[in-house]
Amino acid sequence: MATPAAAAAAPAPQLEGDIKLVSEDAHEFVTPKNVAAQCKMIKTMLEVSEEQEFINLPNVKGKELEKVIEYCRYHVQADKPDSGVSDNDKKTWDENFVKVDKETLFNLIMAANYLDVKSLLDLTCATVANMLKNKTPEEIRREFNIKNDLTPEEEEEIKRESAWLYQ
Amino acid sequence: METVPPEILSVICGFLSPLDVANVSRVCRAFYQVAWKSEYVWHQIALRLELLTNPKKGKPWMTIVRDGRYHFIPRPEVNISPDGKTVTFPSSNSCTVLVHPPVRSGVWKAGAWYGPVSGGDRTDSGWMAGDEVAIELDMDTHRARLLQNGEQAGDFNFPEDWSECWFGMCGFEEGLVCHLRSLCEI
Repeated sequence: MATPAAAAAAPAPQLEGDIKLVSEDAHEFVTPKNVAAQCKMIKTMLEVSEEQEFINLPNVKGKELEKVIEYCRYHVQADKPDSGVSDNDKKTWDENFVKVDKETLFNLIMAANYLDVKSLLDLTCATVANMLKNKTPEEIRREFNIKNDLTPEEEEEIKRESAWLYQ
Repeated sequence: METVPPEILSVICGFLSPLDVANVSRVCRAFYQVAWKSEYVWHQIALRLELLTNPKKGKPWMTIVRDGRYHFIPRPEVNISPDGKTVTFPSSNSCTVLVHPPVRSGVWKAGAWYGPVSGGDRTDSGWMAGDEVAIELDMDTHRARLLQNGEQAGDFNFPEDWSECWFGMCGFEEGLVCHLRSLCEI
């Protein structure tokens, strides 16, 4: 019977070689397993079956999957302690990485969420948050083409509840 | 943006300031629910504002953020800590530091702690350096209670035409430190 200590000491599976990732629209990306494993969802699948040659990803299109792999590939290298890449360099790279159109950005958020890449989810969500900062409700509606469905009574209630912020 | 599920919108709003969350909440009904009404969003804001050292006591996170925003207003004669919660009086000149923002309605309690100073720890009024002082203000009945280490130490009325009250800390001893522990509606 395995003790909890023994279970904790079990070696992590070696992630060597490549895995083929197949997007919803049938694009195939041959990716090093250690890069693909940055996606927790894929890591779990690799741990369950080390011998599989491909993984179907029905919720991610090729365009976004390519970007996710690019992100993971960069960070696998840059996050190594001896990479010589400074935090500033990584920050700049991340900022450039998310300079994409809105549709791609939102699709990247969905992909990061589905594939479970927390750092990418945080990066993309923070980018959208930056688009919302210092904007009035009307400016946000215009920017994201959103219809105001609040009744005047509801608007008044929200104003009342948030009055402490406008003091 | 309409394709983004509510839980992701809440993650996005977790990166915003309280004022930005309020503005986002006024965009549409769905945003009101995922931003203003989300405990997750306010928890994330509290984490960023480092308001987790205070015991939660079952309060909603928004209340903790709202109450945690109080800070001393800087002025040249005193030293204020970066988080605005601690003031050090560098001279023996009498000086009052106000807490922002003022209180306009409800019953509020402000709690503060005075750090020890070298020599002369007892004041004329029976207060000791190191005492915890609290003031309860009732903006509806216009009555205030003063508490010393949790025990009532006095009470007074204030004028009915006062529409707002400012909490303030007055120091007149070199090196006196005052830490604003809490200011909350009770």
